[in-house]
Amino acid sequence: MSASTAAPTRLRRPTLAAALRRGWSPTNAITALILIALIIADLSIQPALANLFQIGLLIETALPLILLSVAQTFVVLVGGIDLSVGGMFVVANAITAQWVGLHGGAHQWLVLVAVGFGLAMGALNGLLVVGLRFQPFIATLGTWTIFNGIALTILPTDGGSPPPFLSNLLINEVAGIPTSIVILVAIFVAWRALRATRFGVRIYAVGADEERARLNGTPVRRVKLAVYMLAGLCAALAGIYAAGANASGTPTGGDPYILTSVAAVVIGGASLRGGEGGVGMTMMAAMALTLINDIVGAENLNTWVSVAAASALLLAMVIVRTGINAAIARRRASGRPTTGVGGAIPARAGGSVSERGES
Amino acid sequence: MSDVPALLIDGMYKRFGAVRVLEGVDLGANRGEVHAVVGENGAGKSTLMRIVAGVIGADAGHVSLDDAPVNLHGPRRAAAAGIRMVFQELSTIPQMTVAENLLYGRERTLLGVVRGRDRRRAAAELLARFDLERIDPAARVAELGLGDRQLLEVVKALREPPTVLILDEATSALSRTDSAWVLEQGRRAARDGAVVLLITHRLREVREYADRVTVLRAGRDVLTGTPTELDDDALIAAMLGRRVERLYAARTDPRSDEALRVSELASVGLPGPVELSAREGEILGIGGLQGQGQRELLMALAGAMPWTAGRATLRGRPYRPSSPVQALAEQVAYVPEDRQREGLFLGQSVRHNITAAALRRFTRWGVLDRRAENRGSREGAETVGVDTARLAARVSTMSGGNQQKVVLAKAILDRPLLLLLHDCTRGVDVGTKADIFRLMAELAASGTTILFYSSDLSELVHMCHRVAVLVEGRVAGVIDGRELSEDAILRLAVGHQAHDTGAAAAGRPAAGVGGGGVSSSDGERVKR
Repeated sequence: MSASTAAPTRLRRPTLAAALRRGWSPTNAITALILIALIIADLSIQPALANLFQIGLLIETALPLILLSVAQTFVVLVGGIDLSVGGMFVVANAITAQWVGLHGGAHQWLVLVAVGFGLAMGALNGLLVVGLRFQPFIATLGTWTIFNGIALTILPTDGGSPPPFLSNLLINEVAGIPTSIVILVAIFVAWRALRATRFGVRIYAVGADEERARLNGTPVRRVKLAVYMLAGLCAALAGIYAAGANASGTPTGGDPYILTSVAAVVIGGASLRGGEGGVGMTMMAAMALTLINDIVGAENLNTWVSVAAASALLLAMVIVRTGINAAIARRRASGRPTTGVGGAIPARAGGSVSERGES
Repeated sequence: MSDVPALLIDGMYKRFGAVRVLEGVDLGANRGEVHAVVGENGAGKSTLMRIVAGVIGADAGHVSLDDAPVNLHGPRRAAAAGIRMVFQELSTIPQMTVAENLLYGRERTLLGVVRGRDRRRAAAELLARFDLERIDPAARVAELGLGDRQLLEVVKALREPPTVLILDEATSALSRTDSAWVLEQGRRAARDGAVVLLITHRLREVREYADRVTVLRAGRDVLTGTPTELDDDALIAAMLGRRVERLYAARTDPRSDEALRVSELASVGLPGPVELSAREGEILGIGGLQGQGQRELLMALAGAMPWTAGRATLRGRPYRPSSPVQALAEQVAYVPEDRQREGLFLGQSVRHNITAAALRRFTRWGVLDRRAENRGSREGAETVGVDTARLAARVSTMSGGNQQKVVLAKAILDRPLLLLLHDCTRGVDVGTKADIFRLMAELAASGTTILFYSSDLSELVHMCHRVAVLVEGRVAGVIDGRELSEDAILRLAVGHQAHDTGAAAAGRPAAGVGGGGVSSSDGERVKR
């Protein structure tokens, strides 16, 4: 108690440099470098891309994948996996293209139905995993096909007519900046805000170690349920966005996104075991995967090139990370030979213990 | 009314599967009191504390605080009632920063958002309150040493003044200075009006810090008193109780040839240096409190853990396995602690499990010779006393005792020169235990050297020729046949002197073969 009135403890000023230092890790650096390299490559192939409008278009094509990858990130952060993101995507997409579209501009709020469906589908996944203790892989493998079926029931073939207001909203500009860029920034800001809430901290705690999180008083099951719902929400937003941006719905277009979203999460440096990674890095990775497609398209190469390149990127990332982790572990082991049971620490009087240097 | 203790534990029962861990424990502790709870490994101390902290549920019994029943459904509820536990197996989350951990769930927020800077400052202030300024609030907990992590655990528990503070072997991994600091924090919390429960193996800590002490044995509270009226002998006698058992097979004397010599061994989690020697046909016990490096020692010898230093000879030949395969090739067999996870292929048949480690013997040009495998597994099953009619059954359908026999059959199928047994009698019935002991005696008689770790002291006393007691990853002393007793082991393990002079073991010669008597790390003899 008395400490709070004591002289404020000195802390480093929060600077951009400090923030970068905190976010720095070898894997993050590599993901960033990959993205930068791909941007440079794409620009040198198509110099005309270097204007805001073109960038906006590129991000427009990237956004569904980005949103689905964000959804996947949340689930992966708590140690799960969500194969149904594609299914939730198409359901929201079909609802937007069919039900909302049928009413034209009259009932714009019907878009919220698609959002609600997203939350409900996420909640279903969450209940299967948390309540019935299904393995996430199995639970979402099952719901994925169910969701695909629901989408086809709502919208049997490609097409439909998403409400024009949505298309207008999504393809236009906000104060001279393409909406897609604004949305991209908004996603990131929303993520940073969420990360800074108690819920954000809890996501990481649960992902790192459920039992420890519980010992710290975390309502583990509620957190996981909320995470699956959040994933459903993001997937639904992706579906709504795709319907609006394409002015058309596609009830079968979700499947290719599923494994790509997992790939983006892994390339972004998240651990499939949970507790490690973040939406920012996933967004970069999803962007990188989109750029590969763009380059392949511009060069008129076969589509398999793009698939192969994405896979190569994924494998390279995993190999590099394994190597880095091994190196870190080795350095730690050699730095402190007497860890473990008898690892007595220096006496407090001795003062500083600052020989470990990882980051 | 006024005589009712502040914390009252009443008729606590708990069982895990078939194992009864608590069988009606009553315990009362007052505010302002440091109440020590002591007992052998497996006496139920930690289980009891975890129930009080809401980590696990009890089967029966209740806890009341200041005369009102406490809802212990989950750690959240317990914490809300002011019950804080410093966990033996740390509860901080390594991937998160010190600040995130310390203020977890208590962050000050603005519109739901935590400012990282505020949090770091609050953490720094909290650390300063405990004179721990040297810990950087922005550091990840994974980067801290084990000792600092344990101190953080204490700081976290004392963030707000607790009503009940539980220190569950919080000092077992700490240096003496840090132990003293932790215990001092406990005493201070008691002075501020908390009930403090101190779980420890070190009787010295009971003497120095506790106002009262309760002894648990086999899930019951058997003795309560003040440290002044109970001396160490009384406590130890209460911890062990009297037991008469006739399940131990007769031992034969070991041969004179040295079979295994280990010098300066160190491994991950085993700071060492470990010095050991054992003769052919000898059963060498590995004793000590839990987590003093016994597991690591056996795993290192089994090739399952990398050696960071040291050398060994096995029957005169240099021995340094870098994998379990190499160890097997040198005829060293290991029976792991967790039979279901490390010892068996649960979904496969008894037959396949028995022959799994010796497949080479049953294959010709890479093809499994079924008939040879049948014969081999039948012999193995007969040796350990597993019903041969069940060779085709899945291991997962068998009882724990029979599963353990299958693991043993696998381990001894190739007549190992060195057999490493890690607590292979835990959780098996008495009959199976007797079978296992008979088998051990037979193997030893045929010349196999056995290293036997058991959490049950009486097993060590009855089955071993000698017992090496490990304290903090070193051999604190070796107790020879004539002097071998549960008392002697416990004294050495609890460390009247051993852990105070950690450096003493470094220059020790190999565990004395002859000599007799108990030699502790500083050479002092322990009287019986």
